[in-house]
Formats: sequence, C-alpha cells, structure tokens
Amino acid sequence: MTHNLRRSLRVVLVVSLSVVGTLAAGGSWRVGQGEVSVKCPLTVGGSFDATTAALTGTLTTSTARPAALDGNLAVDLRTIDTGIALRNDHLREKYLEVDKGAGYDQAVLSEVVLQGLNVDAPLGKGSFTGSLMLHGVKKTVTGPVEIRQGGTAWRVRASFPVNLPDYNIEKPRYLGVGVRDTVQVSVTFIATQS
Amino acid sequence: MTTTVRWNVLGLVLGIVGVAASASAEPMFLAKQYTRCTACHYSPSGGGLLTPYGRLLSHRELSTTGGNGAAPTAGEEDDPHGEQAFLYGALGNALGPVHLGLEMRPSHLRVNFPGGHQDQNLLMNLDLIGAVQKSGWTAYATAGREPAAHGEDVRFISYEHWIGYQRDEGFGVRAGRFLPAYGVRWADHTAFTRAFEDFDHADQVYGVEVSDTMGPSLLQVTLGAGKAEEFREDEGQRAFSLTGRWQLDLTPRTALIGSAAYRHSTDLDPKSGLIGAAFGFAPTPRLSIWTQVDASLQTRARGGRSWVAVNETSFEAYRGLWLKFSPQLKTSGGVPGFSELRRLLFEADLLPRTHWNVGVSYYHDHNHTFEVSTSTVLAQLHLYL
Repeated sequence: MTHNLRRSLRVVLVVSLSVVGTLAAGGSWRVGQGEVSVKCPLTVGGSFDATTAALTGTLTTSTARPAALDGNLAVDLRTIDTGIALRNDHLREKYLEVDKGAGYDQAVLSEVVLQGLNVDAPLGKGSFTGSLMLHGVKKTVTGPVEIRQGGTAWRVRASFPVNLPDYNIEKPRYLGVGVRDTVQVSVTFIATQS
Repeated sequence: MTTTVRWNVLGLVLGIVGVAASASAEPMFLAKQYTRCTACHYSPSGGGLLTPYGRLLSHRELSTTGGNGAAPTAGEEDDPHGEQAFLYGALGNALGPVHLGLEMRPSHLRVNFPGGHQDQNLLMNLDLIGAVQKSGWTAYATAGREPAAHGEDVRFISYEHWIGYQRDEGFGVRAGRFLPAYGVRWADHTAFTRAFEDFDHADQVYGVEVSDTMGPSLLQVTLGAGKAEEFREDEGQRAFSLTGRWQLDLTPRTALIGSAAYRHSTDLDPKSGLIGAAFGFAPTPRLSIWTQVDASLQTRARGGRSWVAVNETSFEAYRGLWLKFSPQLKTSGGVPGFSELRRLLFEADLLPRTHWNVGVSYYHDHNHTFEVSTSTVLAQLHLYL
C-alpha cells in the first residue's frame, strides 16, 4: 500500500468518524441541494412529473425521542414545474391555491420519525413517518427512506404517496384529461452540518 | 439498368409517393412527457382526430404563435373555442357533442433516381373525421378520398370506423376498422417499420381490440379477421391476425415497448410473424430519441425474412420548429434474392399556428444489394382544421 493511499484512507476514516460522532451528539443538519418530484398519473394513461428544487429546511436529532428528527422540510409550491405553462398555472392556482398564502404556498414535512435505522448513524435503508402540511391540511405520511453518506454530508432519498382528496384538493380535470387521486412524491437532498 | 434494378427503384419511388398518410401521433412529444397516444387522440393506437385536450395542446404548447392564446379555465370540460376548435370555431356550439376535424395535406414531391426524376403535386389527404364520446363510449369514423395511385381512380374511403368503451380503471375494448397497435406509430407512414410490416396507410383490420392499463403498463391485443381493404377487394387475401403490444413507462420521459404480430396465410402470402422492441427517451424537454427494431420470423412475399430498424431523433430547435433525423435499415441478412435497404431521413416541421404544419423532408434511400440510390424531397402543408 502506498503512502498516499494510506493517507487517503486515514482521511476517509477520520471524516466518517466525525460524521457519526456529530450525529450521536445531536447535530443539526441543513438541507442543501435537493429536488422534489411528484409523479402524477393521468386518467388517460401515462404520467407527468412536477418538480422543484426549492426545498429548504433543517433537521436535528432529537434528544427527547431517540428515533425522531426535529425541524422540518419545506417546499415552495410557487416554483413547482410540470414542463407546460398552462398546466403549471392550473396546478398552482386552481388546485394547490398557492395564492391563499400561509399553509397553501408551501408543503411542509415535520415530526419525522425514522424506522429501521439507527438515528445516531442512520445509514442504509429504512422507512419514515412524518406529518405533511399541504393545502391547509395536516396528515401523516409514510414511506421508504435511504440515507447514504457522501463525504461529510448525508444523501437522502425518500418517497411517499399523497392522496389528493385527503388534503381537500379538487380532482384535477381538464378537457377530458385528469390526474388520478394518488400521486407519488419523491424527495432527494443533500444534508450538510449547520 | 436491368429489369430487377428497375423494379427495385420503382419500389423505392412508390414507397415514398405512396398515397394518403393518416394524421399520426407524434412520438417526439415524449419530450413533453406524453408517453401515451390517448392523451391527445381518440384512437388508442394513436393518430387521427385530436381530443379537445389535444387541440388545446396543439394551440398552446406546440404552435409557434399560440403560447399566449386563450384557453378554457382550469377544471373546464367544455370544448376549446376559437382557433383551437373545428374550422377555427366558425360553427360555435352547433355540433353539440360531435367533435369534427378536417384534415388535408397538399404536397409536392420530387423523386430523383438514376437517369431521371419525377415531380408530382398531390393532395395526400382529404378526410373528415368525427367522434362522439359519452360515459366512456366513443364512436369514431373517417370519411374521405383516397388519392389516385398506380393509375387507379380517386375513390371514397373510410380508413377507420369503430366503437370503443374505456373504463376509468384502464380496461378498454373497441371493435371495427382500425390500425392495430404495434410498436411506435411513426407519423411517416413510409417508415420502414410501417411500410414493410403491414402498418401502412391502408393496412387497417376489421377486428376487436382489448386493452388494459396497469400502473405504468399498457397492454393492447388485437384480434383481426383480415385487412379491411381485402374485405372489399380480394377475399383470397383475408387472413386472421393477432397483434399484441405492451408498453412500460419507465419514467414520464422514458418508455419501453414490446410487440408481436401474427398473420395467417392467404392465397398469396405464407403465414408471417413479427416480433420487436422499441425504446424511447427524452433527455431534455426539447429532445426525444426513439429506436425500434423488429424481426420478421416467417418468409413473406414482400421482402422475405428480414430485420428492420428505425431510429428517430427529434429536436425542438425553436418553439414550434422540430428537426428530425431518422436512419432506417431493412436487411435480410444477406439471403440471396432479397434486398438490403438503407435510408437517411432529414425533416423540418414548422407549426406556425394551431393545426398548421409545414413539413419539408429529404429522403436518401439506398438499395445496398443493387447499389442503387434515390433521393426524394417532400414538401407538405398539413392542415388540421
């Protein structure tokens, strides 16, 4: 083993230990680069993705509840994009009603609880539950989550279904084409220590 | 030029000249996250009359000048009006639940072949298409003229007429005359996977189609009693046929298609079979790339055992201006007596206004077996009123 390789391995080991050590100590993690993608199946078959990169938030390991993460993740629904201007207008204004302001212009995920993962070193695959505030309605959501380590950051991927009628969102219908009741939300982000 | 070479050149020329090309679905709209024909067309196998949603999309999202046009308000189930509607809305609400479209395609064709060229002005399409849809039921029919071909007279033809039922959950059935679902339905009916595989402009069957949507999958199975034109013209050419098509939407911009077809023997043709796969993806909202490869499993009268591959890459250079490149190949794998054909197609499609499509296509066809080439320029104004 060369000197350079030994030194690289030492660096990786030190970085890894520092990450795990920080989590165990109840560190706070800020969402950096991220994307939310909502797969919307159409009533006539096929689907489209509505996406946004406007994801912000901070998660903190909770000292009170070992499996829980305090803080929240928020998505600016004014920026959600379906690739078609008219569809964007309808989605934002008619169905999500973002102009109503607080409770409507953002989707907020909070009270996150990890399952099947060690919150002190939550690397690997598991599941989560959380409370999703959308369209002025708060409901529990659940789904799979995968957390990988990327340098000093977490790479998080999670998904969960959302049933639109549960959130009092009108059935999206337009000229004979509509979105089915249940859409699938996928969230990916990199969390860095704040 | 030998007689054989002349016949091959003639075959290439006629392949391009063809006759009427039905309005077809555009696989390039995969770039806009439309993987299924039924988002914009009444027909489950694509092409033909646009639904009100398809007309709106043609106006608002595809035409160069329609980006800021008026649109029905969100939640509206009414028909589009004005520029998006039949005859630009001249009839108002007089048609009630009947949806109509008038399709015409005046064209100019120039074919260059060894020793000469041929110029032709032609009206490739003149069809009135109608549909009524209520409570999941759809009645659909076309009526128009089939242009003169090979010295024949112009005649009346109804390319499609069928009745279908579609459940919200995804199950559907239709019966009548229609083009069976197979592979990718390219807009160009002379594409090798259409022209050489009996999915050309007038290859509709009389039959029954059953379809089902299961999550991201779509399955379509067609049982045909024979080609519709053979019912009218030649009993000895009727043959039972079975076609299956399965589509899996991997993402809203990625689709995988598997297809198979069987056609029983006729008085002239032995039984034949096809199996194929297609893959389409759109890496950006302005670019789509489709490839289809088919294998003909049985000896057939027109071309023998063969493999056909078609790629179509479409790029939206400017709003409403699509550039296409399509290499195509038909080969028999070197079996003596059968030709290997290669094609390069370059095309520019401009959609300046709703339902106006100006297209210029350049085809370079090469018969590799006989080392004969032809080139064709096709300019067409496609009006869909």
